[in-house]
Amino acid sequence: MAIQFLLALNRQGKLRISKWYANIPESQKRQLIRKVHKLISSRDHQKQSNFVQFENQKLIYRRYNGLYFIICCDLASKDNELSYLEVIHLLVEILDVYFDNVCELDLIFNFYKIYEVLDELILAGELQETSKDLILNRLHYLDALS
Amino acid sequence: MPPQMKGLVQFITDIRNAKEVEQEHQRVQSELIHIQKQFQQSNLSAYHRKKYICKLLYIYMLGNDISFGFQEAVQLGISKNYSDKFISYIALDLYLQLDPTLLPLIIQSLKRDLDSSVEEINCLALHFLSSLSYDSESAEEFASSVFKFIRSPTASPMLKKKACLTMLALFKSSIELLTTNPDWIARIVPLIGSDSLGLSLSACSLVEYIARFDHDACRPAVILAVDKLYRIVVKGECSQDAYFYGKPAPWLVCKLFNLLETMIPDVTSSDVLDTDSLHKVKEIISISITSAVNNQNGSHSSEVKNTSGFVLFSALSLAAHIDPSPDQAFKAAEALCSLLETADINSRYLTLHALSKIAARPDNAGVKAITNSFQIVFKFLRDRDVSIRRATLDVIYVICDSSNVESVCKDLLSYLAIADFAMKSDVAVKISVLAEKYAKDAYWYVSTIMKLLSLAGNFVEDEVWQRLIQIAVNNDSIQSMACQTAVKYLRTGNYPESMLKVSAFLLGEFGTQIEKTCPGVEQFYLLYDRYFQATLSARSRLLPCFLKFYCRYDGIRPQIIDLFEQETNSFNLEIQQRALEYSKLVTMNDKHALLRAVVTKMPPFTSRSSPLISRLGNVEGLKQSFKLPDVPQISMLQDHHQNLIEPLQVSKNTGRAAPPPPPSRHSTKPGVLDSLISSPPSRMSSRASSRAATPLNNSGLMNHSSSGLFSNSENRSTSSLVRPHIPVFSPNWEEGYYRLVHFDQGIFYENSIMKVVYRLKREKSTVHLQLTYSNKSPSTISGFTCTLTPNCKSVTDPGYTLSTIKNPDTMVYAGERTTQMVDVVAKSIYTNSEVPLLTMNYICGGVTSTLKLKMPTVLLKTLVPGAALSKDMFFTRWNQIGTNLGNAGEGQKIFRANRKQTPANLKRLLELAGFNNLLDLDPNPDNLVCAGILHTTSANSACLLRLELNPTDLVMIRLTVRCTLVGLSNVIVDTLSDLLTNEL
Repeated sequence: MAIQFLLALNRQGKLRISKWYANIPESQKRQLIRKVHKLISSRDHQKQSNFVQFENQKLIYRRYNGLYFIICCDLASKDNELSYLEVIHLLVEILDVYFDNVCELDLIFNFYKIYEVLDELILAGELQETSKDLILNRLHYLDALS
Repeated sequence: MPPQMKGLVQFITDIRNAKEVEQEHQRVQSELIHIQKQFQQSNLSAYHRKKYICKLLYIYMLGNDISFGFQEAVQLGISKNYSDKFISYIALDLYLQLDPTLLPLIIQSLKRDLDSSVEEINCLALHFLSSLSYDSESAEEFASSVFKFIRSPTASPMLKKKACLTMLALFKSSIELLTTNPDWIARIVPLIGSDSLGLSLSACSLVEYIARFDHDACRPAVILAVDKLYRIVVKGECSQDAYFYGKPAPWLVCKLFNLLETMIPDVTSSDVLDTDSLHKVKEIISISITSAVNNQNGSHSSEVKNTSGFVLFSALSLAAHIDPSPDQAFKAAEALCSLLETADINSRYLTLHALSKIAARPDNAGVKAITNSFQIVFKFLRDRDVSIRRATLDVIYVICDSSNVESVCKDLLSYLAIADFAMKSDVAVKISVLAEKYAKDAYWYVSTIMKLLSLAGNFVEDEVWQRLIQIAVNNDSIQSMACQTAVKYLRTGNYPESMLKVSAFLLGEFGTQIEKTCPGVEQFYLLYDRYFQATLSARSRLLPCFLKFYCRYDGIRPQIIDLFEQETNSFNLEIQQRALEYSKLVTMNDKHALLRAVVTKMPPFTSRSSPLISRLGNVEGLKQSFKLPDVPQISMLQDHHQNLIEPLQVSKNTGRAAPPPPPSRHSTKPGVLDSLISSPPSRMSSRASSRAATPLNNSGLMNHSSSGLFSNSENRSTSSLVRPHIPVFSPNWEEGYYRLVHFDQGIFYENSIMKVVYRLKREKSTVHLQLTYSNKSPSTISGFTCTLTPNCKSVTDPGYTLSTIKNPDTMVYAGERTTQMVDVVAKSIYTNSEVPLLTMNYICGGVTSTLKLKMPTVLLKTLVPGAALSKDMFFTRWNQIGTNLGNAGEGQKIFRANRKQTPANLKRLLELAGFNNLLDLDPNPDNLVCAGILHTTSANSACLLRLELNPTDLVMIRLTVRCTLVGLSNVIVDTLSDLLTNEL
């Protein structure tokens, strides 16, 4: 399994996006989110890397204003951490165009839309498409359907 | 953006306006009641249903449990409207995560959506399937529907890429799907060559996963991956929208690198990559590295740097596998070391990982380069980012070997004193494993581990001191020294509890060996004085130790009995039970007969590998990546973790060059090492001779390597995932096959899409093959791969070798052609059933096709005409073979040709086969007598042949062949009779 889960949390630890690719028991999810927030918010963003080991996995995260985007992946994953960091950036760029200058409120009020965006980018924990134009065209096409 | 649902927006706004948690909670509760009420209405519109389900989803995300709504979500899914269905699937995804047993209730509607003619509906169903967790039964249930999209000529790349990744999820749940559907792989692999980069990317992930289980079946992927990379990286063929911060399709490039890494663990030991492709891969890597390094330097944005960075590190990682020269590895390691000082934090982190990778190479080249910069690397153990510290520790672990283990452990021990809490346990595990693996001196090993315990005893895993005990029990020579060290630490009075536990065992078991320097009674009080300050787990270890002391020393018995009695009142069950049993044992009225029977020496441990290995994290995996993936047995898949332990050991011990002999100062005490390494202690051999051999080996104190190696190779050969290999050839294969057994060139195969022309040139034991593939169809053939494989899975070593000189292009435009060149070298005799198998995979007009053809490169193709022989010489030789070899030199067969033959026809046929017809040798002019020489690299053989045709019916033939090489004549007879009876 490559990506185990993807989260977006604000600085207070409030959940904005969660997508689980690995089979994690429901009972552990909330605790997991708390632990991830605690670990990441305690790190120095100037002087520390964007990667940190978390239990037997690794977290790749990046902060955009008040929002942390976090990907958790397998320690043994062959894809290197920087490539996941740029997946996060790709996601944020797509959201930015899609929501026309995205902010936390967009993610809150359109929380269900985010799944649609993610499903075009990542599937089964693996990257599915990386062309920003293709994904955005697809999203607009799907919007026209509803 | 479509309009939002008003009610939902209002609800979210209310929640956001809630000032206190209590207020939010109230709002949620009242909404839940409202929704429940609404759901009871019979005429709820789809819009309202959707809105309420969205509210439930939001309520869940706020951290509340939701207990209803599943039925409504199913209902919403019946709608034909896309956004209704979309919301329904999100909700179902959640409900199934909450309760996986709901799956059977929606299987029907899922299947309906998979069968739908609307692509978007198919996509939704695939998204949903890809995130489910399955049991193998339900995985089976959906697999063929998902595969349908992969195979379908009409499905769009969009559907196919989603189907590929959904398939990946299914395989992960149930790898048996591969065994039951062996023909799927050949249909999946060509998708890597797809023009749609997204599909190519998805197919890569899928194939990379399959390759771990069926490496052979994925071989064509190498050529496709190399070709794709070559197009993107070298030729710059990449559409503009796939560029990301100046890099063409960076993620796809990395995925292809990863795939190659899996397929080619080590270029020197692998025949997966032909010279042509190897050349291309090197060019690809070199271009990727150069352009990435350029981007790292200038004043580019962090995105440009990151993107080129991840391509760079993937390329470096692959380079470690591809470039066999140690010189290159050395240079790469040096370059990386210099990068360490300057790079930004993220790059520094990855640089350290890249260093680990290079150091893990089977040769030692990288290690040497890093050892030179050891001080720089060590400095990063004090970096302020724990991620960097961990990565540094991994590098140090990988570059440690028997030549530097003492200084590395010393440095790590001194680091341990200042390491932060998060690191201590990791450092301790690594010291412990390294000390065991590379110890050249048993005393050094014991003192290192004892020092480790004294410094970080409270942070180390139990396995660390348990391992010390196992090794002490199995090695007589270190026991007294271990006891003495223990006493030394006990006397200081200041030690962590794990030291107490180890000491309790060591002194209890081997204390008698040091009575001269430390009397038994003193040993007892050293432990006893600490008893009441010790934790329960330490106490339960001290009690049996005291029982042993009780047997040995009379003077302290009353004290021990007192203690036992006192502890019979312990609140802890474990302690109480031990105390009860022990006090009964010592007070029994049998002159301690039972006690003596109970207290005996510890038998040697048989555990093969250190329990610590599993705690090493992923560093050991690095070395595994240089080996072909092990094919795990299905039954073992669940035991993934345990399974990893042994193979990992193998790579460490066999992969690395043998450690240099210990420096001379150790030769002053020769006996030490020997007793650890070769001869089992006498006590063990007398007691358990069958076990005695196991605990000792050459690289460490315990024997993981030999056993690991064994189990590893066995795993592979008996692997249940390797499919039984009964080749099924494509329809109409015979025509071309017999034509080219007869002739050396001609049309080998033809269908409506392509034509294959075959040309063969003989050169002693080598035949040069040239296959030309022409695309007859009006559309482009893509993902085209042609592989020749030995068709003899039962024989491990075929009688020939295959070497690819040139691969065909993976893309053939309409009306164009491409060629493949292969040399077949005959090494020894091989039969017609062992000739190579040609597998062609391609996509044309969206359809993936596979062709399997039997290659007409029979052994007879290395035959050349023999010298012209006179009648006398021919029969002298004919008789010589008869007398020298008897039946073994002759083959004969009487058979019926499938059409009327003439002597002239047969004569031409034999000449084409390579024989020299000797005229007028036989009194009967219709009979043919020929001679030839057949070449193999191991031996050449004279072949004499006599063919008699029944002149009345012209179909019955008697063929007799005599050869100087035993076993050859039958092969020739079979080939010729097969040709004459079957040629179309």
